[in-house]
Formats: sequence, C-alpha cells, structure tokens
Amino acid sequence: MVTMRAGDPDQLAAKLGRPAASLSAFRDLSPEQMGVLSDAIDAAAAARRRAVDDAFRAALPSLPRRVLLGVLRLGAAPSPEHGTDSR
Amino acid sequence: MSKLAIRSELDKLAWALSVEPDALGFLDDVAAEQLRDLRVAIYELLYREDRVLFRRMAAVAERLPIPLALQIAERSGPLLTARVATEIPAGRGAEIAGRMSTSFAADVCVDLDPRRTRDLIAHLPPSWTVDVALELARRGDVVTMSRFVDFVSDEAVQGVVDAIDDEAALLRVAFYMGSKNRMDHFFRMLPPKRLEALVLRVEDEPDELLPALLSLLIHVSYGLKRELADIAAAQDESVLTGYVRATQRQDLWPDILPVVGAMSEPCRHKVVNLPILSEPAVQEKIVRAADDHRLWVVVLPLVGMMNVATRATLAGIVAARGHATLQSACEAALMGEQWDMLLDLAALMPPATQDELAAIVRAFGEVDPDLVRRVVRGAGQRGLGGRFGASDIAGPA
Repeated sequence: MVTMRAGDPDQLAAKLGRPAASLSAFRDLSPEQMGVLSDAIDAAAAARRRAVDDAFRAALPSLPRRVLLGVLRLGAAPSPEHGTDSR
Repeated sequence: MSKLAIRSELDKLAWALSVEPDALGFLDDVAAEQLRDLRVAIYELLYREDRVLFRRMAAVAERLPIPLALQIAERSGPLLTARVATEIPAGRGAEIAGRMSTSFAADVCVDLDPRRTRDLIAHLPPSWTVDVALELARRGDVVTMSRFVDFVSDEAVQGVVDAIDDEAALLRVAFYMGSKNRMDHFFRMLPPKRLEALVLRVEDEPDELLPALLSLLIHVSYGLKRELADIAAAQDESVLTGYVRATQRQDLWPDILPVVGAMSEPCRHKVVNLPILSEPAVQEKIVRAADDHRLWVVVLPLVGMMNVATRATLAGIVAARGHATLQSACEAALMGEQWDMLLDLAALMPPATQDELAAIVRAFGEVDPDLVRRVVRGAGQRGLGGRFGASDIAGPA
C-alpha cells in the first residue's frame, strides 16, 4: 500500500487504487486539507492492521502464531507493518 | 444538493476512518455521492490488505467441522471472523453464523462488509437477522444496522421493523441508509398508525430526529412525502414552532422547503402562516436557501398563501439582497408561471427594486414579448403598471 501523504486528488486516487477522475470533486480542497484526509486514511489502515495483529495475538501464542501466519502469508505481497511483526 | 445527505455521508465516512465527524467538516461542500465513492474506496483499500491470508484462512475453515470452526471464530474475535466471512462460501458461512451467539454475531456485523457478503446474508433466516438487529438496536448502533438494510430481504426488514418498537431507532437507521430509493418501499410497508407514530416521535427530540425525518421525506415518493408531511403539519402550533426553531438552528431550510411544498394546500397554508415564519431572521434563511439551492420555484407558490405581514417581511429581505436574488426569483416565476406570486411580493418592495425587477422582465421580453404583456397586465392590476412601462408595451388585453 502507498503511504505517501497525498497533496492533491490525483495522489489520493493513486493511494486508493482508483482512477484519477474518480476524486475530481475533491479538487477544491487545499493541499493541507487533502493532507489531513490522506493522513486519516493512513491512520485507519494502520489501525486496522494493528487490530488484525492484536486479534491474532490474542487468539494464538507467539510461536504457533508466527508459524501459522508465515504459512498463510507465503507468497503474498507483504504490507508495511505485517512483515515486521515478531512480537 | 441536500445538506442532510452530505451530513449522513460525512458521519459514515468519519465512522469508517474512526474520527469525529467535525474533523471532516472541510468536506461539507463535497456532494454526497462523491463522499460515498470515497468511503467505498477506503473500504476497498482496507479489504485488499492481507486478502491472501484471509482467503487461505477461509479455505481452512471450510474444511473444519462447524462446531470447531465456530469455536475458532469466537476465539479469533469479530474482526478476523468478519474478514474470513468475506472469503468463505456463502452457505458454509451462513451455517457457522447461524450457530453464533447473537451478541458475537452483532460484533461481527460491525466489521463485516455487507457488499461482499450479500450471498451469505441471503442464506441467513429472517429470524437471525431480527435477533441481531435487535441486539444492534439495543446498543444504539444504527450505522451498522443501516449498512445492512440494502442487503437483507423484505421479509427480514419487515420482521425487524415489527420487532423494534422505538420509532427513533427507525428514523436514525433511515438517516444512514445507503440506498435511498429503497426507503419508499420499506416505509410503505409500515401500517398507517406506525407511520404516524414515526412522525410524532420527532416532537420529543426535534433537534436530533427532525434531520432524520427530513432525510426520509426527501427520498420517498411524492405521495408518501405528502402523507407524512401532512401528518407533521397537523400538529399543534407550538410543536410546529419547535420544528421551525430546530430547522433554523441547523439551517435545514434547503431540505425542509421542498417538503412544505409537497404538503396539501390546507397544511401549506397553516405552516406558511405560523407566527415564527414572519420573523426576519427566519425569512432571511429561507431566502438564502431559495437563492443558493434554486428553490424559488418552491417558495414562490407559498407567497400566495402568506398573510400580508409575512409577505411584507419577505419582500423587504428580497429587496435588500439585490439583483442576483431578483434574477433568481424572476427565473423561477418564468419556469413555473408564478408571476402573480412574484408581483404580489413586488408590490411590497421599494420603488427602486420594482424598477430593477421590471428591467429583468423586459430583458425576458426580448425573447418572449407576449410574456412581458402578461406580466405588465398583472403589474397594472397591482398599481405597478408605470414601473413596468405599461404605456409602452402592454398592448391590448
């Protein structure tokens, strides 16, 4: 996932994996406002990732968790934070 | 553009991002449809995260005995269960969901994406949906309830509506419903007494429930809109005054004016002549809403029902706002053939404003000379013939 702070609708569309024209209604936002929106989306994605990790942590002890997640994620594209979860 | 539709979408976007709606206040000029598209794009982004992992977990869960799969789901928690549910075959998912405790199923629904689990939802019996909806209603989680309304059967919706005895909860769910065009269908399923109770419930909490009722009224068909609006208008003057004050505080005039316009004539007459509507501050906001939201076509017919005092206040405010407002009012009169209403208003305006209005009408005459003759005749009947150049262009009646 792209975590660069979006400063205009085209960058936000790229972050969300959408066509640039799909966010044309947001062109009147200032770069600062667009940045706030971009940060909120990044924070939501990070919170979701943490919630998923916490749920796995609560469900399984450390060693089986790491083995299971390693197997289940095998070959999948790593996301920014999951790849470093060694707690 | 409905302010309420935008407010509803901003609330849901804030919910998706786990921020306070006020933090997204800078988006309140973006159309509701665009906000919805952004919210869906964010759901998609979150959904793509770790999809391979959850697809593989679903493949494992599919092969486990149901009691074991259920045990693992409850141990894994609602978030992981919701994610796996989007990847598991619908029938299998429904079998597992059918054995969950109501409380855990409600927890899962909070994280579940109904657009990606519509087949699973369709496999669940209406009684399951009713139980889970009651649990969500007990928690006050109307946003989650509203997300599922579009995806459950009529039978399930009917069961939920019958089971929920708090009209306020139904109104709040309606406020957040995504598919507004299904609102008419759902609310037509309610018996008349329930509809009446729904409208009367607003009286208890006008600031919170009036926006929800208006949001409903905006999206239902004309017939149901008139039926519900007339129920509201039939209430005592003190109650209606409370509604106007709530409308004024929240600046809901762009949303409420079309509802007033849909009322039957006696109800419109009653509402238009409420004493509070002659207050200049109220009239000012009505005129601004008419200008900004092209609602003069709704406001002009109401002018004909106003008492003289209210009409005079309105005329003064229109005159003070200047040329753009006069132009908008004239265009609405042209579109709806509402010249008599506009001339009634003009008769109470200062002479300079009457001249300005006459100039706008004369400009229309370059395209439609017959129109000008009709307007000048009407102006003459109100003693304004000289202002509109009656001697030059009136011609024979």
